[in-house]
Amino acid sequence: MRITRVGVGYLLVTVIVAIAAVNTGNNALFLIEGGLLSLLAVSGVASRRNLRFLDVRLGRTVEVHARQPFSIAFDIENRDRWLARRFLEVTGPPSVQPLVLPYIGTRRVRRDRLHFGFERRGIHRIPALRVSSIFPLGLFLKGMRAHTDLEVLVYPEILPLDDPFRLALGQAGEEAVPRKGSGHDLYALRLFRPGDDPRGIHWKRTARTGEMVFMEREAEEGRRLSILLDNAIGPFGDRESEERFEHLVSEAASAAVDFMESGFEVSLTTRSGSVHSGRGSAHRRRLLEMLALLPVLDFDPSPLVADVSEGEADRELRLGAGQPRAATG
Amino acid sequence: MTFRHQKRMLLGSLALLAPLPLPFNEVVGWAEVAAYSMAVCLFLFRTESGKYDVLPNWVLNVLGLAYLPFLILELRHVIFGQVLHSVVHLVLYTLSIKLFALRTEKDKWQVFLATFFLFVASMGSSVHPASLLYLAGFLGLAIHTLVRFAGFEILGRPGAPSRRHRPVPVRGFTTSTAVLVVVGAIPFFVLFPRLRQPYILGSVAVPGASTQSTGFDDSFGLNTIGRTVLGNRVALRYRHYGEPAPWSVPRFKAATYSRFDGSQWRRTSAHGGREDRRTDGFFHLVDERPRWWMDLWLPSQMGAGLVLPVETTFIAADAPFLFVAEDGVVSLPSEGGGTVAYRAGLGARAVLEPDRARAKREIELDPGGITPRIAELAAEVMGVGSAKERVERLEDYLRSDTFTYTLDVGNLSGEAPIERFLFESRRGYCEYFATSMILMLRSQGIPARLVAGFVGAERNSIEDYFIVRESNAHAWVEADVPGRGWTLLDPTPGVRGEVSTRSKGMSLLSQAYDYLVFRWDRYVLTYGFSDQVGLFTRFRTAWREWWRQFKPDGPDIETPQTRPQNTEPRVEPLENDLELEIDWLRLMPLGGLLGLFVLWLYFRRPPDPVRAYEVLRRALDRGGDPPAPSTPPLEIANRLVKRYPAAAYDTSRIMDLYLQDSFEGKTLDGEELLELQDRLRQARRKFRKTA
Repeated sequence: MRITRVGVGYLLVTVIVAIAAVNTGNNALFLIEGGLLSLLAVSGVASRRNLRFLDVRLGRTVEVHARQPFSIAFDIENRDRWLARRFLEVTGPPSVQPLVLPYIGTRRVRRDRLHFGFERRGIHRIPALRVSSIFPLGLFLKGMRAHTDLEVLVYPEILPLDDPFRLALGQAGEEAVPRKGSGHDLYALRLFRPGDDPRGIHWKRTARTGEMVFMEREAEEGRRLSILLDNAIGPFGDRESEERFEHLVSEAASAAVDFMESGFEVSLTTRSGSVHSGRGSAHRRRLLEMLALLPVLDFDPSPLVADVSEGEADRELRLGAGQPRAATG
Repeated sequence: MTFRHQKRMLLGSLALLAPLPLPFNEVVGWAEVAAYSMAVCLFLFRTESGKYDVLPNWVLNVLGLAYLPFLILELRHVIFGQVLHSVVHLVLYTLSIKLFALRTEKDKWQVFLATFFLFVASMGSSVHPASLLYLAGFLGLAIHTLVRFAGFEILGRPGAPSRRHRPVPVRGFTTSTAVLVVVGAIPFFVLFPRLRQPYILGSVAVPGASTQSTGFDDSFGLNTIGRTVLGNRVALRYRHYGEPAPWSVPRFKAATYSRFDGSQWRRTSAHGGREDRRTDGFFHLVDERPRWWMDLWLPSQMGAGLVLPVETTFIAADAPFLFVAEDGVVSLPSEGGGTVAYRAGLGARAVLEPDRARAKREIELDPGGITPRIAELAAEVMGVGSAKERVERLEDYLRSDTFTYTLDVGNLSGEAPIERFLFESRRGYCEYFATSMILMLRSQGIPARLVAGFVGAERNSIEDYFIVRESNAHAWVEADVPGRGWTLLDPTPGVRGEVSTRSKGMSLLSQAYDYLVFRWDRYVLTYGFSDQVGLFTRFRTAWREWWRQFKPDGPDIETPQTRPQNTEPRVEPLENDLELEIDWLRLMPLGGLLGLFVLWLYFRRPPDPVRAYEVLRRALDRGGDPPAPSTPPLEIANRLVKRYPAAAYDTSRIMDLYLQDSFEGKTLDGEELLELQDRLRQARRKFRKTA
């Protein structure tokens, strides 16, 4: 409980009226004093009650990136059958945007969204939120802790990739030339020839035309990106170096997300481990998780080597100390 | 509706309501309040029209300066102790201007404070029970305003929904809160300690508190009663014990007058007399044991003094002494305009001499106003014989059909009114009859004096007490009849002295209203130190009675616990053991501390690990090693160990519990919370020691 400025003024007035009443012996002033004290007591009880019988529940988090606002479903239930709850304010650590709930009826659940914004990647814990109120008269600020036990894995910040960066990696401004191969995307349809893999027969077209139609698939060897991020560059002497490293992690994440959305298979190699080349949402989550939890290791002068077991990538992004960005096509 | 609009409307409504009782209480005139109300109404009207006037600063300065000469003028002519008028004028003027200059939140609270001051002035000067309605109304509106203000503050914060959000319903809450506050104010009002002698810093005259005056002044014109009986205000309330009553018609004496200058009576001496001290808790007017008792409540002790039944022998009152003037008028040393409560012991007959009145014989024979014609008529009417016979003849003459009782005395107010009454009009009311008789008795050498008081009463059936109103005012004669002593004579024909017991229609309503006023006077306006003492005494008695139930030698069930009916009631003097009871007041601070302890138990915060962690951080800060906001808990713990090695175990344990609570998602159980509290206490003690 914290007394507000209005509360201080109220107490001051109460004391002055008490002195005036005792000094003059005027019972009307004693009546006012009684009213002021009674109001103080009623206000105390009401404000205490206003924070009781409240249940706070948080929904599930989705993909969260640093410096990118997001929201979680937030339910607050008033279990009181007699009194509504008024003027509630939900606050938490600086990463939580305050939420004001003006009114919750008796035995009602108020659904809202709680907005967050984390500055840094990694695991963030929010063990509890603070629900406070100045109800009813604004004399006191009372609060309660609502245990949430929320743990959020924050992925690195996704930066907008500039065109020179894309050009350097051969993505932007240049269409990939399709050629036959053994990938997954459709290249062309033709009549089935002896020796073709029967698994490539396009059965629908075959049924429609009456002739055996074969699907030729597009080669995939040219759509693969390997990201090499050297995290053995610590310890940091200053905050600027730390920020620079965080920026590199963000670039790696941005490139990975961007290229995967363009159909590339992306692999990640760091000193702490690597993620093999792949695509899809599960692969993307695995990759981002690794970047989110990537620690800074002590400086290691040996070169970081790409661990590409599934054939060489045609594009490579090297990120590390001294050479923040090195791209080869 | 914007917040600004709502704030202005709330403040305007409150400002309009606040000074309402002031003109009723004669603190300020109707004209001032009307002008103020017009300004506030204009403010409300313009706000409702969406025009939010904000006067510029230079206009405020000019208006302030313009009021300065008026303020100086008013203060120069102000009567000491009546500064309230000037202050209220100033506040009304300031408030009416300030409403048109609302800019910031600070302005809002200044207006609220000024409004509250007007409310205090209004309530503080109110003596009417209707002020309770005003109190409840203002309280309700003020609570509503404060709740709304709190709502505006919270809805103005980041994270609040749009300002067009549906307004929060608070009307039901404010109404129930206002009712709870009024009910909850009663124990505070009753228990808030009173001083036996207030005015620590100096008395404050409250204009409205002295509006009721029931006594008679030191001078008494021939038309005083004629005017008074037209009024209907309550002059006295009483309740008597013992049946049957000692009288057929109750007669109360307020003042006696001995000097007559032809048109005006004057008291013998308003200042001479003696002080009577209490013996056995009573003031003895004469040495005669009372046979009946009467409780009296005088709305205010103004004028000559206490109004007492003519049969009064003893008085019990809340005063260290009472003052008996030479003419027998009794007054209390207390001041103020509140109701005076006292108890009178009554003898079997009217007590007129010798102790009660020590007037000198020569004064009672003052020849003022006696003309030869009056003396001649007196001699003719009284004739010859014993003094008793002569006096009775005169009384019979004045009560005969020769004279007519009427309040319409025509033009008797000119020169020699009594002579004109006796010889020309023969129409008049009690003062004329009594004055005529006194002058005629004095002309014949029989000392006599005029008595002003009240005759008759009206029974209030609601609570079985009696009301004496101004309409019961009466004047009669006391004469020192040779061979008989001081005798009460009433020459007025058809005296209306009767005890009315009407209980229908308007009378019942009037009685209900009087009951309300009486209770308000008795238990609110005049509630004081002695009432608190009485309350504690009753509490103590009840406690002892209750406690006795558990003792082995408890009350004998054969002993009758109830008072036998139709016997003389046990009457105790007021405050007979006041000095002893004062010791009980020493328990009041103890009671206050007990109350605070209960409040602390109710409102105390449970041990909170986060708060404990903050205490540790602050300790490090005070210890000269301020932690950065990003300093993690374990580093804080390490630094604390270095800074306060004596508290190492305590701080480590607190930190451990904090980490469990905040980072491991574990809810601490009761034992852990108690341990946390204990460790925190120990750590604080060691921090202080190290510092």
